[in-house]
Amino acid sequence: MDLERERGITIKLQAARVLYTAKDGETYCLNLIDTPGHVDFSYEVSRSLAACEGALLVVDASQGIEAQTLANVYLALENDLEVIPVLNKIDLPAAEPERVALEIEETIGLDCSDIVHASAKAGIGIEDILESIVQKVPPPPAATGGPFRALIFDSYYDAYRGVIVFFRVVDGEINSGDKVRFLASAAEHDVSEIGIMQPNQVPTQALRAGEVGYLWGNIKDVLDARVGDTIVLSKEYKLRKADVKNDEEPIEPLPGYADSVPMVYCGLFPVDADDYESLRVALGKLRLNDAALSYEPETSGAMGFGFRCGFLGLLHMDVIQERLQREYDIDLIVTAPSVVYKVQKNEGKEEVIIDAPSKMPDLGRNDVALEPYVKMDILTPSEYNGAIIELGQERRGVLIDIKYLTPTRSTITYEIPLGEVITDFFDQLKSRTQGYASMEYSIIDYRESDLVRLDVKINYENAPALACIVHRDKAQQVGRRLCASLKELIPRQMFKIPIQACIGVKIVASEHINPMRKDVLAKCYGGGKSKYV
Amino acid sequence: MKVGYGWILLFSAARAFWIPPTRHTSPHRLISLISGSVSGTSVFANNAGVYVHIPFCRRRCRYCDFAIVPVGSEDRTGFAHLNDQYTTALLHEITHHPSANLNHTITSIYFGGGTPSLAPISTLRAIFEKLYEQFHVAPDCEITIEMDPGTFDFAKATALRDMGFNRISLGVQSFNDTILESLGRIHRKIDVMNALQILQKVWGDDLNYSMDLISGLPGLSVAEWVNTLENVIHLQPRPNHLSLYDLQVEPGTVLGRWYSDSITKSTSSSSSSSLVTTLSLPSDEEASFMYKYASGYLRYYGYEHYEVSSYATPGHQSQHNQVYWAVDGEWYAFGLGATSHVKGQLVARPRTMADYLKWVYEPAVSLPSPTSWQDRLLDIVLKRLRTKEGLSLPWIGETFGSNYQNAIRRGAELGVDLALAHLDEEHGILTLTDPHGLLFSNSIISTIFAELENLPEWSTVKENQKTAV
Repeated sequence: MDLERERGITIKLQAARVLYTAKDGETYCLNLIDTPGHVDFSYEVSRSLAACEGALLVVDASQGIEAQTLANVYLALENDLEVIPVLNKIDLPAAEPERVALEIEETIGLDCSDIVHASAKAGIGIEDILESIVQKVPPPPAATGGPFRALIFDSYYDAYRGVIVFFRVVDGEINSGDKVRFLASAAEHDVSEIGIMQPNQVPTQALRAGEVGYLWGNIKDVLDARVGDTIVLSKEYKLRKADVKNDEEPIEPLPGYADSVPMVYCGLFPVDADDYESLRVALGKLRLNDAALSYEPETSGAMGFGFRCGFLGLLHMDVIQERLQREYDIDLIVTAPSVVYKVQKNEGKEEVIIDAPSKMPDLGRNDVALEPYVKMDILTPSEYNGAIIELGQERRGVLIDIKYLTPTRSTITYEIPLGEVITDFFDQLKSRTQGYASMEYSIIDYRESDLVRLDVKINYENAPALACIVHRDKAQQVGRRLCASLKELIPRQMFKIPIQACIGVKIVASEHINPMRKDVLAKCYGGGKSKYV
Repeated sequence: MKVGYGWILLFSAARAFWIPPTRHTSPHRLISLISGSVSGTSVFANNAGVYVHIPFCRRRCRYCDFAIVPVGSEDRTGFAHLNDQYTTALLHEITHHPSANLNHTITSIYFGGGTPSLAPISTLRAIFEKLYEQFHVAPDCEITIEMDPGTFDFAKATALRDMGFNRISLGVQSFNDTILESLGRIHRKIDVMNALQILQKVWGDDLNYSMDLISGLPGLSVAEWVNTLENVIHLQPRPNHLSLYDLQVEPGTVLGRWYSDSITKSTSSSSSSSLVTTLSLPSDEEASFMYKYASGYLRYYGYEHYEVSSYATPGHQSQHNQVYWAVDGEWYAFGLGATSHVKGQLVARPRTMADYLKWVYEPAVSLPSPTSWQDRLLDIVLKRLRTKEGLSLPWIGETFGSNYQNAIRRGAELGVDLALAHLDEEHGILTLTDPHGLLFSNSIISTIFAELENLPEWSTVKENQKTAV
């Protein structure tokens, strides 16, 4: 991908099968998967790790261990993989192999006594790496004899062939022409072709347990074949379905599948209202290849029609925005998104859904406002516990638990309003922990909250498009920031303009814009109106 | 002046004499129309002006963003060649301009720049002769040349008079030497006085000169501005025309670098003169006062404030500038960066020398399409409101339609309420008040524009009399 090359990162997975004749004379078949290192794609990484027996931890000998290194290693260790450390780029003058090897030993605890020193660019140590794989990585476990099951670790949409699915066969055998079923999406498709990657795709007749390959078969929607899902054979599924009770799965899905949960949201609005359709189509096309991208329509008084989009992280959001502007030529306004609130009136008899600040009514004494809360687990090196708790407090989180997984790693559990999470919580978490912390969250319930509608009055007139819903405690802070921004943005007029943020009739923050003293164009001679207005 | 029936009579009399396009029945040019018919000017009396641009300057002043070419001094060896090249191109342009066969009578010629007084007499004469060759010039044509103090001597001034120049525009800007230095002007107060002496000697009682001054300059206090105006009033002879400009700090100029919107003090430490970094721009409040004070003061001394930045003793308004502000005024323009407006077409020449030289010798490419009726209307509103005579709403109604007339009325309402605009209900003439309305002319005109542009019929293309003639 152009973007990949430009930014020097891997966004999409690549796989390859290598036949290697080792020093012991035997020929081994190695299935290699290259994974993205970036934190945003950790789910994809975890699924590809789940498809493997071993992992090569490639550390830059000049940079040493970075945040992402640790995150990936822990993922690998959690999946019970044999991790083989490798030092890369030892040909660089800035390389410090001994220091970095020591760092790996101390931080991760891997034995680096016979760590391979390599340089992919210079071709040094490649054979040593392959040898160490052969020696240290266990072979795939013997097939259980059960029905065909395969773990999807990647997929992409091809214009001619439809969705191409990459998988690792865990049990059984699949043949070209079989009909398959994807357990999570319950979609069924005929397989037109299966094969292996070398790394270019080479068709084969059959794939068995322990092998890694691809298939395609007129699958139109990438959501049918989601990363982490289990592939089974339709006929085996049907056979077993007859034997089991109604809601039991006839074939046990492989563990670890999860719907990708967006971490970061934003609102995307086209600058030109006419581009709305193009934006919708573009998002649809991007989603073909990106099951993690979520979007739904959103309207805003000020911005018109647009979409509320969810991403795995800021890089993901960045990449999508850039692709929309570059590949689809749509100028976008990106906004901070909001959550959906609820208001219960008449002591719970009536419930109003608030998906826009303008819908929020003035609350009477017996009315109750609710906002969605999430349960969040933050995984972090223990030295950042303080910083994280500070962040949690700022965001109105309720600390539930701190658990020490190891003396140096903790899990902090919070219950925190979703509204505080979807803006820049993830970004704040990363920057306060130097990138080492990671978070996972899921929505629990709606809870009572002292929410108010913050109105903005410009020149004593209410501007509904600028209203927002905030917690009463935050109202003054948010109000002050809003007024200050508006003061900068609104042009001067011939009269003084007061800007006020208020809750009902009570003013919580205010600013004013000074009037202009003159507004005249000194010269107006033959050059046309180019300098005017 | 009560117009009433007399107006209608003259109106039809005027109609009988000519076959005019609609604009000639505009009450805006009533005065000149009457005088024209009385003096019996010829039947092809489509009046037009001619602008000629001489781009050379000794250096670029720090506020200037015009299309000029700094040449150092005229004695520089390169200058002669450059001047030759330019003059040849200019003459070529005048000879081959596409409107050669329109029956215009030229009532004003204006040599602007740059510093036209830097051009050699031979150049100016060649251009002069070419203009007379190509155009029908009225015998009482106003012929102006811009001159900077210190760039001409007695001999040159005499030659200019003999050539036919009958009006001078003297670029003074300020009488304060400190300020003149800070602006990068090459002259000082003494040069102004010397220049005036020369002009007086050469033109004597016929001397008809204008002076340019700028208010709101860095380091200019209100007191110093009052002093500037007093200096003007005490000049012998007094200029019978003044162009007073409120300083506009333009991006791309040195002042633009030093003074951005939000700061009033220069923060540059890399300026050539440490003096300048301590000069602050007057506040908006002060600049606004300077404008208002000048208006009152000059009007007291008999000047008519006839346009936002223009003052003249009776009978001495700039004929040339009037063409710019007239309804459907037409003017030819030649030279670097000059913009002409003939037959409703605005043509802007390239602003850099290389581009201009190339443009002149290229065979005529297709002309830009004429001004749309919307642009014509906005233009008329803009220009008329900047003048003391104002905008005739009934004329707008007749020419464009009553909906536009009403839109303008609506747009001007706020201005009228704030006593910045005045609507003479009897004749339907809308003017901006002096000085406050003029001081906020941008705001009022913008509001009127907004009303016009919001009309549903604004974006439809219309045939018939609404297209520019």
